[in-house]
Amino acid sequence: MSNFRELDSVLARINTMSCESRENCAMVSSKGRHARRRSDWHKADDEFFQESYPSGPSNANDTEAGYEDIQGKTLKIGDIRYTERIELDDRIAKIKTRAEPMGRKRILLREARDEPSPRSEIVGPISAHRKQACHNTRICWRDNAKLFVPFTALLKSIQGRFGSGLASYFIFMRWLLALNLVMSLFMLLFVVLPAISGNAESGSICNKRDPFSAECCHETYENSTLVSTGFDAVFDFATGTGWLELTHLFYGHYPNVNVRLQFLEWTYVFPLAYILTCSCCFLVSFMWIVYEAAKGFRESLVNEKGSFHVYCNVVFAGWDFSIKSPKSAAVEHSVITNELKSLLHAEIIAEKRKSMQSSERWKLRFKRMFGHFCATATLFGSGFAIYYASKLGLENARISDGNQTKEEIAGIEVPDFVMEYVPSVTITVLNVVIPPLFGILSVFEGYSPDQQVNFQILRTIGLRLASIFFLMASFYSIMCPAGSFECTGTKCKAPPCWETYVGQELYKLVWVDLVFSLAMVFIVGSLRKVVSSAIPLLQVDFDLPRQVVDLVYSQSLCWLSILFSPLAPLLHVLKFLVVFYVKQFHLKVICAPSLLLYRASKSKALFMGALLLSFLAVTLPIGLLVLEVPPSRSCGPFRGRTHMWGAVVDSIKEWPVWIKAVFGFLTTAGFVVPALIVLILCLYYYYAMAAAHRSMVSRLQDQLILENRDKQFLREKLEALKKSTGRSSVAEATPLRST
Amino acid sequence: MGNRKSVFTPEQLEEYQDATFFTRKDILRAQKRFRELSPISVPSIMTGSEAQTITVPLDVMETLPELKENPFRKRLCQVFSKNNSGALTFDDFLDMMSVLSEASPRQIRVAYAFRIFDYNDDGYLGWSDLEQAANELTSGGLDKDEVHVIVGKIMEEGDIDDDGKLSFIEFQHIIERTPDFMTNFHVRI
Repeated sequence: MSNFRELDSVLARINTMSCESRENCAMVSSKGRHARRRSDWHKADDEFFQESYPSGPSNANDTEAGYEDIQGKTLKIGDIRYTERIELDDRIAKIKTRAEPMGRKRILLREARDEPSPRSEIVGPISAHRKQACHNTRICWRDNAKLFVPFTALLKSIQGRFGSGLASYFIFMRWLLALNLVMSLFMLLFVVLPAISGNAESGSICNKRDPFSAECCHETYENSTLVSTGFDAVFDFATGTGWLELTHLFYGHYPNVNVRLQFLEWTYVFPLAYILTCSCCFLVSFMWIVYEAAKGFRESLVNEKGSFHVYCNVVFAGWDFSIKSPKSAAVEHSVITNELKSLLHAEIIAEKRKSMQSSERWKLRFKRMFGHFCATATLFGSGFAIYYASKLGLENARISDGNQTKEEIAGIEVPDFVMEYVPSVTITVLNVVIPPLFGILSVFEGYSPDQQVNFQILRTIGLRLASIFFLMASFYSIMCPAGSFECTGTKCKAPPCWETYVGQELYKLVWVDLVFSLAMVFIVGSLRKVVSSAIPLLQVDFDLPRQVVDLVYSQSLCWLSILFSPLAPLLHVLKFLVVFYVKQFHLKVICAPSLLLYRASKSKALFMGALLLSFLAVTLPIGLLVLEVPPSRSCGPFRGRTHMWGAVVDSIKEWPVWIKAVFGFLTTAGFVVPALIVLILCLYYYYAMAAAHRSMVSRLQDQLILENRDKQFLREKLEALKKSTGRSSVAEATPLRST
Repeated sequence: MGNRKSVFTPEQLEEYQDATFFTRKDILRAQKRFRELSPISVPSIMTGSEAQTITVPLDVMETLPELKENPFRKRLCQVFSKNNSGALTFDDFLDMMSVLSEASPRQIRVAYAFRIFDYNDDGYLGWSDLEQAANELTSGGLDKDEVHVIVGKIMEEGDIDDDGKLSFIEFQHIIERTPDFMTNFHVRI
């Protein structure tokens, strides 16, 4: 009798542990009640052994529970069995996702089709062959949409040869192309086309009595801009001055009055349109970047300690199944080997570091601080170099009012044309020369390879952004203060149309960037490839982080120049197309196969993060410009106003009173401060929830281990009991389920 | 499409479309590739039961360009074939390509990946399975101690209930936290 009591308690514990769902629990506990009958604990055995391999791939063979999602749940009420009816399409979708061989699926499909549906009695037997075309519209959409995406075949071949990590770089470039296309579409539709095709309404004409009014300034400016011919015209194309300055490429040529469109007979408030379209472009970029980043974030999970399995990731998901060529396969083998070896190596180093003496630790800390200090000093140094170079260029721009004097740099005579390029060339040269120095610095600092790459990328991005900032700062330093009523300003030293000047500088920067990257690929790359057959050290590597920083830099230049040259996105579309093919040439012909495993998920997160950072950094100076700096009086859609945002404010003034009241309230401190407080509280709430979940997870993991040990213990006890009561035949009748 | 005689009957095509993640064009392309492997034994018209009966043996199967360089090609063919022989009929081949295609969802890929890594077919990923997987991946680039440490690390990361082997649930749990699985476990035909 005591044996049965023990059996009861054992079975009760087993049953509570193997409860997977409410229904199962109900069935199982009822069995527990009758456990005194010896025959019943055969079934308890079944439940117990089945639970050890519950929803495995090949468990669905004989049990009814495996087919509930296809055949519907059955409920027995009294003597009648009610079966849930599932739609045919849903059934087929479920059958498709079963991990079973084709023959079995075919049988299931036939069963599903042959079952009579209640509709058939009314409508007539449903034809066995349903229509082929698009019975599932979502799949149809997806298949047809794939035809319109360009470059898929090209990207597939890159993926086959170089792996998904490098292919993701080109996918990122294609996405940037799409973004720029959308932005250029906006600008073309709402800014450029109305300006070209519309007739400016009769604004005020230059009144000779007031030579410093905006209109007269504009006339003076347009007449004084030199239009050169012949060879100089070609140079002007590259520098953005001369004839190119007076086209719709730059800000200066746009009207500042309402425009009457030819075909539609509408008045188009041009200044408002200009500023709103630019803001729209920024908003669309921001939303699209955040959307893509969130998508990637959902797929690649948070790199938290303990929740990201590094070794499992390499072993189970490391091999790229799309690799086809033997060379790439050999490379992939060595890449995975290297990755595993470096992981092991990093562990050893981490161990060593933990057991370091405190004196060594201080030495390491000092080394790192020194490294950071050096990097920051380099950033500021290059920033000031750019500032000085830009000031030089500004002085040159001012002097070009008819006297083609030759400028002097450090006593050497330099032609005017070269002077135009001093700021852009300085920036680009610094961007090329300094990052390798950062690389050497990070090795000296003694970080792990992963951290090295991160620091390298951060510092390179910092360099690029710093160069842009210092350039903008040099422009800002020569702006006229608000309230000056002169055209060109002999008092303040700005060029007559400073927005166009800024646009030109950025235009030249884009050109120099393109020329430099072409030169690096074709000239330097070919030289190094020829030499590397003799000296392997000089091999060219496709350094993915640096290439990504280049792309992100180009895109931030595009965002900066939208306000000053509305056709900038279009230019960048062309530039990215050229760069796309050039980089492919670089990768396929010049580069040696890389020994670093670039994982697609990590790369995508990196790209989006860098892009978001640059975007936020770019909106700062632009926002400042729009809100604070007075636009020039001689040109552009905002001439005569105190600041650019005034165009929006003026049109808001014409709206009904209650909207103005709402907007007025939204900008006061009485709204902003509570809103900020609420936001901070929400953030803190989510942070606290995340911390609580984390501790819950670790507690549950410990509990799982304990449960498993309990299960083992009980299993052994069950075996012992079986043997002692002579039921060894049961063990043979219900063998442990295996695949 | 210009064929006087079509490769499959419409019923067969519809069944294939319902049972796999392929469209009609993909299925016909897959048949063409299957035939290229062994044009003598595989007919160009499969309106009867040829798709279930005619098999291509393992060594010929391994010459498929998409599989040729894959260290797991043998296991792939074995998992999708009957009796683990590695010889695939067209049905099995289509099944395999459908599971590895872009449209197949995570749960079916995880289920088959588990079977692929389970070299000894015991329903668990034990030490020997993982050691063999690591050796195949690095094609012998790591020595025995390193492989031992790596498998130990994997067990440390993935074996939640501490029984010395990875069950299917634990494998599922690992793959949920492996962001590269879906992009890498993918063959386009």
